[in-house]
Amino acid sequence: MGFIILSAVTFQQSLAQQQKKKPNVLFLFADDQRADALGASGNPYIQTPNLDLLASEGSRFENAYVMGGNHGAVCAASRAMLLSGKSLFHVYDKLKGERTMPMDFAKAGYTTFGTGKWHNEKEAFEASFQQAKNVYLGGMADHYSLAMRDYDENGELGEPTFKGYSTEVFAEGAIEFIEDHVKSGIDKPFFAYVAFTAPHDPYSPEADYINYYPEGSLPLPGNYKPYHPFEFDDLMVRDELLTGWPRKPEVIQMILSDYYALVTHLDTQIGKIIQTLKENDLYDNTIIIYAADNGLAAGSHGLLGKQSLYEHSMNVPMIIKGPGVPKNETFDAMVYLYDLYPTLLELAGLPKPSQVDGKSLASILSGKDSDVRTSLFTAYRHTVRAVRTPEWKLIRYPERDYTQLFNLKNDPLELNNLAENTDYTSTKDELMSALRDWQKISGDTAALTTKVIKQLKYDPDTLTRKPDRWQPEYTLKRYFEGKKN
Amino acid sequence: MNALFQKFLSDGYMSKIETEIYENIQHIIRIIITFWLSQREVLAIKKFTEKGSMVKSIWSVISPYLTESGKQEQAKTIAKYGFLQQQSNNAE
Repeated sequence: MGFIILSAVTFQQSLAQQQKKKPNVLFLFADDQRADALGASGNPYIQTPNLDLLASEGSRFENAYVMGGNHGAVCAASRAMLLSGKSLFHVYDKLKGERTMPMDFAKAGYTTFGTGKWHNEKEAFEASFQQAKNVYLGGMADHYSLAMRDYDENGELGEPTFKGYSTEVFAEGAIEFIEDHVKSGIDKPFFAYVAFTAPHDPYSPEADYINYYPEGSLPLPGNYKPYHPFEFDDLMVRDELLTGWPRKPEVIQMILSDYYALVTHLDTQIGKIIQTLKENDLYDNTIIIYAADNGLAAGSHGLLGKQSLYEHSMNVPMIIKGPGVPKNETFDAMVYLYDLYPTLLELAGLPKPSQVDGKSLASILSGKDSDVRTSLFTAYRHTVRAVRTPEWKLIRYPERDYTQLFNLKNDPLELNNLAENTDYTSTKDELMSALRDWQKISGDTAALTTKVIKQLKYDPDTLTRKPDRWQPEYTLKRYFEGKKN
Repeated sequence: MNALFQKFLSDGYMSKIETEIYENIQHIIRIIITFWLSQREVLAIKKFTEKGSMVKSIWSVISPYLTESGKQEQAKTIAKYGFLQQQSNNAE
């Protein structure tokens, strides 16, 4: 009898220890993925079975946003905000000297690991992660020839080498880390940051995924346009040059086929990482996050890139799964990527960070609150500002003295501009006021109407293009050769 | 798409009909796929905004030209993939 009681007590103690055991964190980060390029978001044309399963075993935030960018490389600002927890006007691309999310996890006794894309200074990476494998320093590159770096004996990122297809090499780095962590027997939780470069262009899928989505088999976006209807910012910013004007339906469909293939391949590699967690009995006690740095136009509104404030470019996928996260829930709260910093700390039971602008979403996940803010602000350079509420969205172009007003409930694709409709004058005024309030609390000093007003009208025939140095033969042949522009 | 139609013909799934009609069918299917999401913004009829309605519409265009074995193959395909799942070109 005594033996039985002793066993029961030991079992209960062990259970209590397990329950108190800090959860691991696996942060999976995609590059340029639209929120709707995901099966779980209701897109029937793309295959993402592993991410869909993750969403069904966790929660998805359908109104997750990047706050914007200071220049064309929106990803740099997005990552800086995510990792510092600060908003766009409180942190710049450079993270040197900033406190980052992995630092807080390290301070709490976690082993921290990073792999994949880092676009926020080498020194900031080294200060943020204890371990590293296959790190790419930069914004983008040919997926087949990314320069990967590992830590050297001094704990610094060494000379780059070329190892294989980006998505697979990053997944291998993450899998190797998880397996080594288990083998080491160290009784510490881990924080692993896996930043993929897919589905960012060049749109050159891994060889087995070429023609995964046959050309012409995917519908154009519902807000496809051959040209953007008016000029703003720089219509020839780098991302817009991947095809000519007018945007031809067959070329946009080609881009979508390659883009979706990149996402599906990414999904497959994520499946392998998750399988590694399961095989090592880590799945249940790991908080898994899947998100992307920003969206992408991919033919919507006559645009290709993310240098606008339309939904397709600012709305991002966001899935959280793990202890403390309800299963199969979709939340419509308006949230920022940089809310993840305080959210993850709270979910892991770590002290609340004092220096961040982000708000913890833990109260939403627990069902205590339905939102953490009543409106959401986005900004791109000094040329575009936007504010949205659950129902409305106003986009302001200060250089053009032009405003768009969309009813997102009735018009989620932002096609019907109601700004000049007098029925909605009060709505427009309220949103303009909210925009000014957001600027004030965010430290955004940009004028909402500039002194010199530029024309909206432009001649699309003046738009010209040429390939950049990152385009491999595959995309050169498909998107550049034989094209007039 | 033409190669796919030629395969349907050689496998005996489609009836032999005039070339012009084949070309028209192919073009109609291309229009359906390409502008499916755009038409939903303009012609928001509930029946045609439901998931799977694009694939159903494509089947409707092809069905009159299917042979008996073609109809059997169609039934098998629908049973296996439904109207939602896209059948990829790759095995994985």
